[in-house]
Amino acid sequence: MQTKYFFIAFLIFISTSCSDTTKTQSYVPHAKEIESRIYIFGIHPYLNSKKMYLSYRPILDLIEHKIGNIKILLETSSSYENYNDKLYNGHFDFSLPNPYQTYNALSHGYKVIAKMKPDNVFRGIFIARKDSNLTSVSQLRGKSISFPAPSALAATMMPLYYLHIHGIDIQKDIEKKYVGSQYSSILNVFSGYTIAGATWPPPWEEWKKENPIQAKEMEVVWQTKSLINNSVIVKENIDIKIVEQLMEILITLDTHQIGKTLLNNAGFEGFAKAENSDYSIVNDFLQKYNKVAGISQ
Amino acid sequence: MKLFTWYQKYMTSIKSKLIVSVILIHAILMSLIVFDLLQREKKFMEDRVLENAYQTTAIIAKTAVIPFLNNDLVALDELISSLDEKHNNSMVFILDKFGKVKSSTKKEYFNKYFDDDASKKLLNNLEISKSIYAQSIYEKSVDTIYPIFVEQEIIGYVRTLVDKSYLSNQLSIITNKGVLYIVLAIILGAFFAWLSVRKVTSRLNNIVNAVEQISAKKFDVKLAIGESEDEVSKMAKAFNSMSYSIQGYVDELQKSNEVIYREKELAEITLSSIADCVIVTNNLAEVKFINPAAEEIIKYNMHDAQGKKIEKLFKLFEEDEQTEIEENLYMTITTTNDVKVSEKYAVLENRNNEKFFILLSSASIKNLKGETEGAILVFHDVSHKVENEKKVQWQATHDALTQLNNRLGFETVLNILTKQPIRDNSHHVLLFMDLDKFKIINDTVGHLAGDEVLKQVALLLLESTRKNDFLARFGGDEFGLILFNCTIELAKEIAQKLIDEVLAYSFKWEDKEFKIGLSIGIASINAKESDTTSILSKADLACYMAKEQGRNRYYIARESDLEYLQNEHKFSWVSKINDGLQKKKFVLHIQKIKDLNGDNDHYEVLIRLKDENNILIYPDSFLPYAEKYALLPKIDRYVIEEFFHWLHKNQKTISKRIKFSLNITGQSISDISFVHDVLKLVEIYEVDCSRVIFEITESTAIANINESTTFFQILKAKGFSFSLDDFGTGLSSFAYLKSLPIDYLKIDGTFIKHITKDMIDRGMVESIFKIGSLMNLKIIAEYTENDEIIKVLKTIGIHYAQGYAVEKSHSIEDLLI
Repeated sequence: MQTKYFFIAFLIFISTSCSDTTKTQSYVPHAKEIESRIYIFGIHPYLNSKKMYLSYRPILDLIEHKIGNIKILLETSSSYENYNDKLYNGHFDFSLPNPYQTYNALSHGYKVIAKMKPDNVFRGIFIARKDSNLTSVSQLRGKSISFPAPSALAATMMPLYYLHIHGIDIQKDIEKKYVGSQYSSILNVFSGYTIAGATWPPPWEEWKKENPIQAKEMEVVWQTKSLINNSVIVKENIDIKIVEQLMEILITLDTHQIGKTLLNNAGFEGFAKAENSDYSIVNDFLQKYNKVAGISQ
Repeated sequence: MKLFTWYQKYMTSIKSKLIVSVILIHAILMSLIVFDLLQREKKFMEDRVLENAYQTTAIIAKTAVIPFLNNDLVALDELISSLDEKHNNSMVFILDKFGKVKSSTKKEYFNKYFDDDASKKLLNNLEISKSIYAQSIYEKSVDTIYPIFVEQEIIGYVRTLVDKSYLSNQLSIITNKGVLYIVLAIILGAFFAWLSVRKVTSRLNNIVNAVEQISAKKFDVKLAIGESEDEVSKMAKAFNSMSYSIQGYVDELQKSNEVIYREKELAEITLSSIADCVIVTNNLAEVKFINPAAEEIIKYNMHDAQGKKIEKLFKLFEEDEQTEIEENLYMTITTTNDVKVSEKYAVLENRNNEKFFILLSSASIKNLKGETEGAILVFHDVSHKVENEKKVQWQATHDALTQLNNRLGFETVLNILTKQPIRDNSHHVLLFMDLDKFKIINDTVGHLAGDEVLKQVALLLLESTRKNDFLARFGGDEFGLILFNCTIELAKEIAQKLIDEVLAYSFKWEDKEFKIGLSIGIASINAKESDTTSILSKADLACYMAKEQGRNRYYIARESDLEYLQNEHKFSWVSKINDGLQKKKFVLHIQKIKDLNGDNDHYEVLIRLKDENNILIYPDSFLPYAEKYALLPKIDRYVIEEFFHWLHKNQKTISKRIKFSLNITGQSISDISFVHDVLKLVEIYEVDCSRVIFEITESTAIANINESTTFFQILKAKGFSFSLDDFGTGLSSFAYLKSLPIDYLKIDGTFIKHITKDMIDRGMVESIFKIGSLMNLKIIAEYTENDEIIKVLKTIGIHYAQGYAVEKSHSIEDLLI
């Protein structure tokens, strides 16, 4: 008789173990909207996004802190095309474009409130391997040279104009390789695909910090004349009080220790007050450059 | 109850128990294994899901950095939609560092902030946790949040809500598979258990079948053993050796049955063949078997008799044919342990009311335990023998001429009367009658006429007596009559009547007429007179007195008569004999009985009476008187004592090889005290009984057959031998020889005398010799009067011879010379 009860108990055990899955409502999170104004700050992608964020976010944090009750989103862009699209479509509330883009943005509802210091940083440089023994621009003839992009003012246009004024026919004497970014231009040289690469000082300095061993094999062989530095522009419909507060904070940034640290971290000296007219110089260069290379863009 | 009956029906066999055990073991083990595997699998899968959720979330977080920084919502959407494709029910959210949804797989969350407790708790956990991420595990999903870093700085979050219901689906699939495997394992296990158990149980069933065959008495059973050495094989082996033994035993049993059957057949054939009737019963007294001899007597055939109570088949009576043997025959048999042989005859009356004299013996049939299983009755028809015996008995006690009792018969009755305690009023009277003038008839017209007279007188007397009275002829012209319950007065009347009748009777023979007379002596038979001899003597004397007083009258005996007689007959034989016995005037003589084939001669002891002149008187002279007056036992005792004394005295002188034969008379044999006297004498004289042969005449032995048998048996046991004297003269048949324990047969001299001339005599002697020899008897021929006779006897082969040709009798003392 004992086996019988045991058998029944066993059957019950089997049946219960089979029906383990019970139907319960699965978890769904709930969310609600909170009204808040967020200002978007876009910077032209002269650095990769992370670098950009690390460099500029602390400055924006400081600005948010100083102004109070304001949120500023740092929005990087994947490429110059991307940045340009957003810029010319008025996506950014605030932006830090290069001089060429600044010039163009003025006709898209932005106005200049400040510029980066100093102006001489904004120039083009040629990087080459030391073992290339480049001493004369004429050595570049018939060789490939890497450039970030055709529209890059400091890193492409200004170096091409430099070659032009140094006797190189930029249409025929050299093979121009647009490799998409500043680091790409440097790396093309380092790996020997191109004899020389054009870029501008901030990315070069940055690259040297990051790759000190490789950097020893490289050198800056030539540099162009400087133009004007990047600007800070705002949309014309932004509350003037905020614009003024922002301008004040930016200009006075290099006047206190916190600001200096932040600037040092971001790799430039500071901001100076500027206005739309300061960027007519860009138009001047472009006209000269267009004569040489045809209309850019 | 149903379950219980089901259980009883199917769970009692070893097979089902084993199968159920296997099922249970499989089920339990498999369940445990599957359960354990499921638990592990569940844990493993959950871990995998958690890990997966974490990994996915982390990858999204890392991948999302640039688009996030770029605020490239399209790219973020693309990023999470790829995940969304992977996990149907999963949700992915990318939040900015303030918690606002920047991108999600569900569009309704865009630009919103989570405000439910679970979400807050998750974020809170992330802040508290030292870990880089946080996870909440729900029933059907895993909630994972992972920060989006730029260097060490959190710029946003990726939250994934990975559906894991597929996990439980998978688990339930696995569980179902597990259950399936359990069921398969149970089925397979049960199947293999069934297979293996079936092998065993089918072998067990073979054994069971074999045992049943043996129960059905088919012993020729052999089980296939197979190669395995398991218990069932051992059992089968043991069974085989058992069945072999049984077979052997059965064979032996059959053989012994055959032997028993043959024995039984033989026994039945034997029983059927023998002349004796045999009836076998069971322990309920029901007939099991009767043999043809019994069938013939009881008039039942075996078939009809079988099963019937033995009492129903026939009736048994005592020898007198009147008294039914009432005691339960069967009970008598079964309660007796020994074989019971009836000495008396019984009378069997069959269903046809025919009566048979039978001699019955019976025995119970016991089995080995001593219990009575039945009984066997053996009897044979002795009707002829009884008739013969009766005839002989009659002849011995009757007179052939008159058909009346003879003297012996008369004395027997008288003996009974004297021994009988006489009641006060009972009184019997003895009449001793003697015919007068009878001799004249005999002398003048011959014996035939005399015989005729005797016959007619006998009838006359018989008619004149009362019905109950007892008439006998003593011999010659003497008659005796006993009047039962009669006074002397009545006796007188009867006596007178008899006398008158005889006187009135006249006998005519050849024109001659004879008259006879009758004298009667009357003696009363009473308590005072217990001696047969003296009563007879008194009556005889009274008769004598009647004759003396003038014949044709009666005389009543008186005490004074004897005195008178003794005076008058001083030298009468009675007194002579008594005197001779007293004064030892009887002397012993012997006559040689010669061994014709060797030298084992022995002697017959004879008696002679010396008279006052020393002249030897031969027994012929005194023995009739001695017999008449019942003095023979005295003489026999005298002879025996004298001889024993002489033998004792001369035992050293007489060769031990010599045997002596002594004659014993019928009167002695009838006397019970005689045997005891002989035994006493044997003790007194330290007699070597093997040297003594008692001789008894054939007629004596047969007339007193019962007493003779007793006499023989008692003395035979002592070592005495017996010789039957005067064989051939009597009326006995050879059959009697069988029943008497005799050693010698003495052929009567009348056959020997003329043996040389008479071929009939010789034939008689030859046949007696043949039969006697067959019965291991030594045959003696007397009256051997010449050498020719001896020659003939030798030719026939007769063992001993006695007579003048051998040796004349002489004094026993001559042996000592």
